[in-house]
Amino acid sequence: MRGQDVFLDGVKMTYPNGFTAVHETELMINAGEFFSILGSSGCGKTTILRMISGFLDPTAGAISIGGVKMNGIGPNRRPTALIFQNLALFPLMPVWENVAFGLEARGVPKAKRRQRAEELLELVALYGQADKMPTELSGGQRQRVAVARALAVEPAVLLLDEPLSALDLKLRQHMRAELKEIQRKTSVTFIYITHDQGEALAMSDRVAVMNEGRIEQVATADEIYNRPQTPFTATFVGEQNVFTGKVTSAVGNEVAVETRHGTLYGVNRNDLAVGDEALVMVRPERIGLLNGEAGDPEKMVQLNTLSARLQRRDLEGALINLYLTAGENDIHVNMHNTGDEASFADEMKLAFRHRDTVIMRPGSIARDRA
Amino acid sequence: MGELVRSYGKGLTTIFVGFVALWILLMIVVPQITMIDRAFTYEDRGGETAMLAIEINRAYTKRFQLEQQVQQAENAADADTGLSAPSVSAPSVGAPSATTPSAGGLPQPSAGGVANGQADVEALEAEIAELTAKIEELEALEEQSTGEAGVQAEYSLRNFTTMSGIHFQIFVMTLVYAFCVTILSFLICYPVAFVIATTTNRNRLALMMLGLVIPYAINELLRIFSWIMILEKNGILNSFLSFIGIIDIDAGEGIRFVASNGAVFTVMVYAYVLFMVFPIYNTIDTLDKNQIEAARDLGASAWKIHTRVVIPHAKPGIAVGSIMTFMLSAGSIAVPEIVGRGLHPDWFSQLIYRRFFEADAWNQGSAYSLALLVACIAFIFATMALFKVGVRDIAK
Amino acid sequence: MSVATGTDPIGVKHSGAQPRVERDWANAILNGYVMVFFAVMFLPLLFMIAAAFNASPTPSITDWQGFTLRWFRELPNDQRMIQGLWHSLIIAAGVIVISIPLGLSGAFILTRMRSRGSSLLYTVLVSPVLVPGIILGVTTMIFWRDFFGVQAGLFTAMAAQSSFIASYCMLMFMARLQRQDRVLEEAALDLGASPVMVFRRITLPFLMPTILTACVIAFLQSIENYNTTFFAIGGSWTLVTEIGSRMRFGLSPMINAIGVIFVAITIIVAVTHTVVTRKRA
Repeated sequence: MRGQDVFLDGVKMTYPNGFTAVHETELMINAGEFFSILGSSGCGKTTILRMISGFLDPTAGAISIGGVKMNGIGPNRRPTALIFQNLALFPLMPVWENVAFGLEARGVPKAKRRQRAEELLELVALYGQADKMPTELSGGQRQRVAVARALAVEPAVLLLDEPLSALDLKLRQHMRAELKEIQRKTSVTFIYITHDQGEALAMSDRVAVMNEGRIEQVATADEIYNRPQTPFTATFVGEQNVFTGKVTSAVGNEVAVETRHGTLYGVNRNDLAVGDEALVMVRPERIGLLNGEAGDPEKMVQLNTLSARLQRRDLEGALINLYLTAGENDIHVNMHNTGDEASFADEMKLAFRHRDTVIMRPGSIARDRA
Repeated sequence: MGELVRSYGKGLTTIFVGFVALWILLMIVVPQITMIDRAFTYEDRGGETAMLAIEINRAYTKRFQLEQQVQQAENAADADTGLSAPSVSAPSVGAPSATTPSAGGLPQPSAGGVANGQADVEALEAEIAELTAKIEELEALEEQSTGEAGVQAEYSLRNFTTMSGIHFQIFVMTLVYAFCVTILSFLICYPVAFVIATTTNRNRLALMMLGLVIPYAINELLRIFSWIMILEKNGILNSFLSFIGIIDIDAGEGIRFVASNGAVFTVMVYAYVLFMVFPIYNTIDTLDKNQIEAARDLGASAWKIHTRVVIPHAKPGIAVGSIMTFMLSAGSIAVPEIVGRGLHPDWFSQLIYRRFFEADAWNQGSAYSLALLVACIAFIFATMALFKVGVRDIAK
Repeated sequence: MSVATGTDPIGVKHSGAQPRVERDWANAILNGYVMVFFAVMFLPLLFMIAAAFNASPTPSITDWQGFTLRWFRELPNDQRMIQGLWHSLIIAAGVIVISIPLGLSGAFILTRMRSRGSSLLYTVLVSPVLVPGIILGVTTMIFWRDFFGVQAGLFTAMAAQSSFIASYCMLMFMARLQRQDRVLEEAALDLGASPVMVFRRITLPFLMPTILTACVIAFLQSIENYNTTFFAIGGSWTLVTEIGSRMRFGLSPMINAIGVIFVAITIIVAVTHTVVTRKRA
């Protein structure tokens, strides 16, 4: 098996009822890559998947797989295999016939099909279950049958439509590792659709964040989390404390924003200019407490500070969540439990580094997080 | 179409579409159009042709009856000669002679010795051969006269307008009766459907469902037939009346219930009421029974519960039941033929039958059929409008 | 306090509706009525069955002339009845062969067709169910004679019956197909199956139980049909049309005997079906 690249060239999908599920999109997915598309339900990620697999024809643009244009080629003649959300195992066929179905479609003789099915079942740790019916298997086992069935046709691209969503947390984490391992072994291109950022960040080489039919950002997991480019990405992946203000200076790399809580500084990655409206964002785990004693003045230069009033403190064990208010803003701080209970006063001074402060132009903010 | 090809591929789609096209063309639409075409085609028959047709028909009937006798004679010969079986082998007169009065007066096969029966059979067979020759001759004649100018066909409404007053009256009365059967069936079976649908005891439910399914599945004719025994002049009902002293059956006071309008009506309700029960039961069954409890708890009377909660929910079922019952009774041929015994004033379906098979007036028969069809379609649309249901709700 | 059923000062009826006693009465009457209903349904059939064993040559239960099985024994000697049974079986076989493919085709098209035409198509295809049987008989008879010169007989009876039995089959298949998981078909296509293979390996196996049921229903509907067959069969006859024509002229206990056989088969099938489905539930 060898992965192939997938290229979406100006692809657009408008349904007959006039709803545009996917706006004009350019996207290159490299051969052998584990690529995730992350977004909430209805963002268009499933539409993209169905266009790649051939169940939908884009209303504009073209999809190429391995450099070959796929327009007008049906799902049964594309080098792709799809793992469905509900797995779609054939209930009336035993496990091995499920796995060998793709080979049957290709006219492989029965003895050979059976042999190949056994091999694949071994690959997914299901040896000896060949003659069971799908209903006799557990959730995790069915999952593996679906993977084996998809791999049987030796696809260049494997498409996965939230295949883990039906499993419980523990099994899900286990299957993540297993999928990643299978991908590494087979070097097939994996395109993984999910609304779960944990899955996307943990498994993927690259992640695309989608919102309302548009791809907001395509980058590595680190990049997406640490250096989001749009307010949506910033707020959809992980949590942010958000302040609003106006840019008062933009010198070199650094930008200063005047907010209700004083001037906050951050890195200017978005070419903001003086006078621009701006969002200032910082993640809960990047905020620390400033305990009365003034810190090193050298370091203080790199810190934004602000005063807040403690409303609630939730102990999670290793972590502590602090919920504070500063004027009209709610602030969430997430810190390690250092055992220093005395440090929590009613009025507290918070500090966070300039390099952890993300500043960008206002835009749509995610209503719920991934 | 694109959707179909995508789902089934070109080959299978072609097969499916082909089959459906054949079904529609050969079994639904074109046959209907043929009937409509005939209904509006008036045939002005020369007297000679008409007479020929009747004569041919008579010959066929006669030959058929003779064949029956041959068979009976043979049967009798096969059976124990001492056994007298006149009523067992009552003349089983087939379709063509249906209600001709002469049918009753057929000569009975003589129950004599075997040799005698043999002679009879030979005589009969000779007669049959003679008739066959005659029929061929007559048909050749008919062909000729039809081929020339015996029949002139033209489009007109005359097949309808020439319907006699009495026929029109039968048409109207058939519809009125069918309508009454429908209403009565609804009144009879609504409480039954309600009780069964609200039964919570599973064993009782299964038993009652069997109680509905068994008579429903038993052939219509047999259910009708079972009533004749009751309604006969010396049947069960008269025996009962005699037993309680209202009449004296031995003195010949038995009331002739069969062949009366009341009998036809009663048996029709009996035969078709189950077509009303099932659809209503099915819809009430889907009603959340808590709604009934809630309505009762809110102080609704039994009447209110039914008119405001149960019946509105059961509308599609009532509509389906009404359409089926009306359609079956308006188009019923079995009940009037069997219960009516040819003595009861005609049901419209019997008139249609006679137009086709006795008067040999196919075009007029088509016109009559079309009238019945239109009446049924009108009833369906009226019911759908009244109950505000669509075709998809109906055919479930 | 004895003001339970009155109205309160502001004139609102007390909730709690009818008192219990009244409701019990209503229930008793209702249950009694249902009993009467079932009695009326079954009594005539019981009379018919009893008369089949009466030696009296006219079917009766009031004039009891002794128990006999003679009417059953005479059935196999009745050539016309036996012939009719054969005709019925031939027609039923033909009806199954015609109706199942037609019903399947209609169901496949209607469950996948999205356009506005599908409503019209649906109406046309179910119309035979809603039209009086005699009209189907008449139109079939006319059509085959006018267009192909085919005289009314077994074939036209087969065609006439199939026109509406196919509709019943179609409705059954549609009900089943609506419960099918479309994703299974997509999964099969995605794995490289041709539409034909999807049909053969996924759709048909899914429909199999319904196809078998439809065969049984089509068979029973065909055997039992009277109205349509009566018109379409012309000079020939089936078991049921023969029974019908005999019923019109004098009663014979042989009819009762046939009735007993029909009733027995019906009860066996119905009870078996009930027991089987209850066990499964």
